[in-house]
Amino acid sequence: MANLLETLTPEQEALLDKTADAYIADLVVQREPDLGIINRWLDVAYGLFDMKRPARVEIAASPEAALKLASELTGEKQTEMDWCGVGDGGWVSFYDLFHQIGVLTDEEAAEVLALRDFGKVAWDSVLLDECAIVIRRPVALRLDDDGNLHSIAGPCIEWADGEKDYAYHGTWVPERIVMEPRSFTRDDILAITNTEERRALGEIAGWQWIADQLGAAVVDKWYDRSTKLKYELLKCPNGTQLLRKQSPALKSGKQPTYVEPVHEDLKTARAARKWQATNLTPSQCEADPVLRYAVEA
Amino acid sequence: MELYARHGDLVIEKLDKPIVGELQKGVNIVFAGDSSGHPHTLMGSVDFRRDGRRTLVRVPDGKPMELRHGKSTGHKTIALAPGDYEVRPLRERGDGADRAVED
Repeated sequence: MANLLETLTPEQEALLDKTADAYIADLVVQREPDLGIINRWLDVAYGLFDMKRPARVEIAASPEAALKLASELTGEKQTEMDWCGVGDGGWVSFYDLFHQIGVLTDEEAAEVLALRDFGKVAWDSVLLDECAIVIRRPVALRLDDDGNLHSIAGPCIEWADGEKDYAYHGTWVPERIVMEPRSFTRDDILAITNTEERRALGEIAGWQWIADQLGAAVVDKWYDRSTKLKYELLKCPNGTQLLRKQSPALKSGKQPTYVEPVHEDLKTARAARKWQATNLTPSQCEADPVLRYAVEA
Repeated sequence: MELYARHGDLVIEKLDKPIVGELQKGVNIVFAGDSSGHPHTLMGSVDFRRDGRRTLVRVPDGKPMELRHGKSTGHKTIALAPGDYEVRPLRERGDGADRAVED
């Protein structure tokens, strides 16, 4: 039975940030697979399903390699890893802390600490009945100052077999956005349907470059005095219109810019903002563009 | 017009009238953010129904429920007071038709 603590000592309070920082710092550390540690976790994982760890344990160089092997072994296309390993650090760190401050006994924490240790020497797994496929930690992993996967100079993750992944401040993006941002044509830019990818491209290539590439000109501006957020309606030569808008302050304090296509009949930035949030027509939004939110975050 | 809240690309409208029709139980239901892996999660147990792009949600009596963003540095958490809501994504234009803003 866990020991309940009503209050934390200053030393225990300090351990909160220290533990979180340690988990984040560990993400970028390269380590070779350690079969002793891996097998200890596999015994726990298979045991949860009343199974024995299979005799065959394969180490894969990347998630791609693991899924390819899993597909070959099962005869069916495998697309999902177990999501069990490094990615569990967020919640495992809590239990690790609870163990450190005596809320959990060694026995109570044993299984979750086995998962913690597994995450230090492996990335994830694809566990099959006859074979446990364990993925090596990447050879390089890059983060931004907030601990999000991020790199604008190359891949954010590099795997031992040469596979690469790209992310911009924690959002997965296609390689081209990071490596060749200014190769995007007007049509390529307009074909991006994901607003976070659009934001990434805009911030990497430069919003002004995007506007120039689209031939877009600002046709209206609106400043929301209550939230201090700026909005601009841009028009492209082909009639496409875009609303460029400033985000409310995020938890990080940053206020990124987003650009989203809006109806071609809108005439003002303020009406475009209302059009996005409602089912009203452009003319209805122009006739009464007022829209207030009790909260914007 | 006044709406209850915007949380990133989500609009939260508090409904004047109770939701009509059947609702299902759900815990920590999520909205949008599929492709980025950063969903907006309503923390706790609610009754809800998916209806195309929108989700109808009944926040039970008691304490307000938190709507959290999956990214640690993302949108700030907001509170939804007890009541009935429609939660929907912002819309944008593409290929001559309206579509939901994806993130």
